[in-house]
Amino acid sequence: MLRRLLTSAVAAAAIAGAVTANAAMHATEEFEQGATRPRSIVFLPPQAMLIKKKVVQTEQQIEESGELSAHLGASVEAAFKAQGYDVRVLKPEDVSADPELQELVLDASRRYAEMLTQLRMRLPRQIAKRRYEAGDEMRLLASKLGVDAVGFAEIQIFAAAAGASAVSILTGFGSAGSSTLISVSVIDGATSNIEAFFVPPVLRRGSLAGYDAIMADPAGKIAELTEATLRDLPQVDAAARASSDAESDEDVLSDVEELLEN
Amino acid sequence: MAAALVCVCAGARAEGVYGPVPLKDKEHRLIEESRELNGHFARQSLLYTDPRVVELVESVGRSLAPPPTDDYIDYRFFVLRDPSPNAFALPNGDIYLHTGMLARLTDAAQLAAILAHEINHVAGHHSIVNFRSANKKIVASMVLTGVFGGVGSIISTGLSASMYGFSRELEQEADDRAVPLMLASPYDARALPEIYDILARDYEGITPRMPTIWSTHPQLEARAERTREQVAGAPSGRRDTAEFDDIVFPVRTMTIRDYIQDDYPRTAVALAEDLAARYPEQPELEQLMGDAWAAMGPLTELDETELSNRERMRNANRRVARTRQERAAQLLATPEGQAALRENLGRARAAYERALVLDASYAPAHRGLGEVAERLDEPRAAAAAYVEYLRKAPDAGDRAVIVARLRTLRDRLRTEGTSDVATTSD
Repeated sequence: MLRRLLTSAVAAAAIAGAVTANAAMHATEEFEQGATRPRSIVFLPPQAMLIKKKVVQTEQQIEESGELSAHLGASVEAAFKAQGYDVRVLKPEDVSADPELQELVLDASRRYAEMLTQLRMRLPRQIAKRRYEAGDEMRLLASKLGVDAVGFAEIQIFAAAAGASAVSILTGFGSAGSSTLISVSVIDGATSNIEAFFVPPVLRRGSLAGYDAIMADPAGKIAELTEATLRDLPQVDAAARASSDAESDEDVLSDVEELLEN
Repeated sequence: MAAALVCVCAGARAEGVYGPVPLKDKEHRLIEESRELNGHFARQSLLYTDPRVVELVESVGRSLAPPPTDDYIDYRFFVLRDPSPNAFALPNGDIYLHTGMLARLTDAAQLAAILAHEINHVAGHHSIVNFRSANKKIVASMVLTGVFGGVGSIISTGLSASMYGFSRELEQEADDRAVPLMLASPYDARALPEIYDILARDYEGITPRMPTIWSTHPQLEARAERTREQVAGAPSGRRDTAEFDDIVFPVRTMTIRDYIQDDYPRTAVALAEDLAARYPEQPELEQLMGDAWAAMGPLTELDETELSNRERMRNANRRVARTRQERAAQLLATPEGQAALRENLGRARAAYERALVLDASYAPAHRGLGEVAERLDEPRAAAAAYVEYLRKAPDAGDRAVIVARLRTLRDRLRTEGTSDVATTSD
């Protein structure tokens, strides 16, 4: 029984390592080359998840996660700005203030959640094969926001029980019983594909910061984690998407009408 | 070891307490989190706020709720924007009904039946009972924030048990105690087994979208049978079907759209057909029917009663392992899938055309016809329909998406000179 458990754990660690040990960015070829790299991007309100070992904690968990979300949003915004992107991070109140945007965000978010489930179940490197498509919901949202891409950012902090250390080391999900994982996705507003997915390399997950370290300095630690996660983010490609706005909608409609008449 | 096992088993057979239950230290936090959860849902735009719908749910709920036994309980009723058929109760008396549950009900008596069950979870302090049992173990808790959590945005700790099901015994207790609550109300108690009949329908032939108290504990068929016997001799009571239908109509159409978007097309077709049959000659419903049939793609119709559990599990696993596009491509590789696609798109087209017969100015039907034509590889008909759509609805929210499609179609028309027969009704 023990041998079977160990074999499974080692296999899981090996698979996880093979997937992400050497890369923090999983992207399509077009994103890497610049063609689908956005110039402008809006991030939906970032998501924070705490997983703690006990049923009740005295901390204000909701406030905690709200604080973490805000720090994550600021860090992601800074990282994208540093590479030249025109980036904005929405706050929940921005979304709730506009009923139309609210509907679009809910629709797009559900599509993203479906996609993320598949992304985590399968190898992230499948992104390069464009297996994941988020449908018109994401195109409509990008259009409403007037941007090239929609971004999603998430942080998960596992404050595990002390006895879980050995398991976490075996499975590669952290050390000292506590681990943290950030993921950042870029969904193209035209293709509706996930063009890039960023996670920290597996060997650095958990070694960067556990729950206690993050809560001692949330802004600093999350900035550090975000930097590690987005270390492969390429600079904006100013030439990309430059020609797409040359033709008006009315030109297209008139052209098609003319073709249909002939 | 044996004693410990007995202890755990005994804990699992906990019973509700219907008198006052003073809170112990950590349990105050449970109540605080229940209150905070409401603010969280509001901030994430997940509370459904149509005043007529909210008033309906509140009024039915308040008519059933007993006087609170503790100062931390205040019965409040909310509608949550989520298409999954679910409802849940929190220990502070907050009761949430999903839009997806409301959309499946046919009258106010069924609404009362569900709320009666949830009220019993509060009145019996089931969350506290559960919490005292669970607190002896190490249980993971979580907090999610952000818009895309949906009802997955669980707020930590013992509340997860409140939302994702109590023990079989506590569910049974809530069912059983719902019977006298309904009998004492003006509503028809025979609605109780009907809600289990409704929820037992698995249109997609899969296991439930997520484990919910309504789908897992205990088997819905057994619950329906048991409550049917319990209310067999009950006198008929209020149903308020017409008023309920009128108020819930927007929830029904929204939920059908949600099912289409979330790729539950068989559910969408079933609900849309039911609605269109009751409200004939409404272009909006014909449009929904068209959208639902179009969403079916290469899927065949299903008699879910013939599916084994193994097949349901396989269908469910396929949804996780393969993307929508991959599942469709797999079906389209078979003659049956190709035939189903043609048939479903034909039904969609017929529905859109009916919408235009009812109202020639109804723009969305042209968009639907364009999408059908595009999928049937009829670029000329598709282009004509899309142009018609944008001419009739120049400010459409999806204008940018349609224009992008027209660019592609224009290229095809230029290079291929295709001459498929335009099939829009104009």
